[in-house]
Amino acid sequence: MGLNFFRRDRNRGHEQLRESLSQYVDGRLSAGERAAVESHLLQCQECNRELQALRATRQMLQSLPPVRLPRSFTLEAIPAAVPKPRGFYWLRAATGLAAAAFVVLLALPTVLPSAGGSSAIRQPAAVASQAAASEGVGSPKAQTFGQGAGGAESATGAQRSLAPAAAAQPPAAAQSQPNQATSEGGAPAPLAAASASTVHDRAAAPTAAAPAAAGPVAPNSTQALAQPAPSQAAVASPATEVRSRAEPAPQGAAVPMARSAAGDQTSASGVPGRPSLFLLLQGLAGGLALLLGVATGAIWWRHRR
Amino acid sequence: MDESAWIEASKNGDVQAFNRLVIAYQQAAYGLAYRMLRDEHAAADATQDSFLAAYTRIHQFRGSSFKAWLLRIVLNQVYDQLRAARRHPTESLDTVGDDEDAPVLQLANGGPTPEQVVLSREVMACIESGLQILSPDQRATVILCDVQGMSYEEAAMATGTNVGTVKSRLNRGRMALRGYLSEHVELLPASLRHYFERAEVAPGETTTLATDG
Repeated sequence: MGLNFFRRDRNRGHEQLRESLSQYVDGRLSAGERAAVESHLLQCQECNRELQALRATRQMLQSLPPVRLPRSFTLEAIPAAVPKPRGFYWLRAATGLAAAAFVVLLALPTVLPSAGGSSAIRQPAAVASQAAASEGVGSPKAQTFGQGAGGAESATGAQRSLAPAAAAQPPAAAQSQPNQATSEGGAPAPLAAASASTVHDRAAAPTAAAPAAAGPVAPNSTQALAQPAPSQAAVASPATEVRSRAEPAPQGAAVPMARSAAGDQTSASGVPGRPSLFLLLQGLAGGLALLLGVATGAIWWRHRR
Repeated sequence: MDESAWIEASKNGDVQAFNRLVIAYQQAAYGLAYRMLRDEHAAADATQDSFLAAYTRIHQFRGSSFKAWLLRIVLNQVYDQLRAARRHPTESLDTVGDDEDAPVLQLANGGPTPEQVVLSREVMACIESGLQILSPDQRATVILCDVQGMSYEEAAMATGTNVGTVKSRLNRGRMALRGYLSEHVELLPASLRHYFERAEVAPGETTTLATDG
């Protein structure tokens, strides 16, 4: 019993020392600890053997060659690894806000008649003149194209198409051109195209009430461009239809156009400067929406790769 | 090799600069993943995911050891895969010793350093198999410290623990591997075989090495 007791005690001592052997081979023992280990090693053959085995194990581990790489892991092989630039989401939110502002500004005169400004006040007279002449709808179309349709092409196209028709409507052509000139400065926006399409729909198919989704600009604008001469005559009769439908319709596109056209009609002969602050705001919002949308798209496209 | 410049450029979104870090560390990353998982596809996935994660999180890295920071990400990926493998035990992530013929290990260029010995293919396979009997924590610590030459402090960073834990796991892992090698002593190089042959054990006196968990 006594001898075994001593042996068990020695085993415990051995075990403690062997736990230090690992740090000993790594050179991580303090001076005092190292001295204790080394003095024990001088006396104990078994612990010496363990030390040698530990050293050999470590040496073999250190001798393992590197694992063969199956391929390169550089990120150029993974296009999706590029993070989006900072502020990207802000840019998209701002684009959305500007576009929404544009829509709200379009719709406001419908919702708040007083928001139409001076043009609403002149509406009764404008309605009467609209019934008499098709220019009432021709000019909103021209204005819409000037504001909404893409770029200079459709604007000049609208000018060209209006020119023959304007032979009978000199005031309409005269006033549509300055409007186009001012609104050409505001770059067209996708939502403005929606208003162009809605006006086109009204002109071409009065029975159809097209939704104000941002559809393709080109077909609508070119179609509407091709149709101004005949549709203007056709529009003369549904002019009243347009007016009445435009009232309850969710898209207020034709209404503010008609109203502001009416306002412009009277203002063209009188005060040229007052059209509405609203048109200006619409143009700004639309322009801003377009610029932001283009910038967002450019950044997104550039970073896609 | 101006690693800190590459890191700074990576923080600014420079993918090419980050790729230089990839080239510098992909051997260590994949080597760790493969020795932990023993499956080329799983290890490649873990490595690729790790570099992607490192790129998107590079702004979180501050000073210290990029290698340790990166290998910590690798180990997290590896542990995820090990947990998934345990949930689906039909996945053969735990196959051991199936690579005696597989040319997975490449011989180091230009001969062994003084600390290294030339290992035959059989003994390499034996050591790799031996690593698989360790617990994942011990295995990771042994790979980081002994195979990759990290200090205790770097290994502590890479495992997300402290130096004391590293010492303990390293000690136990080495002991367990030493016990495994004793059972396959015939595979060891002659110069080292001698150390692993079991000494005569007197009755009543036990060596407790192999049972260390």
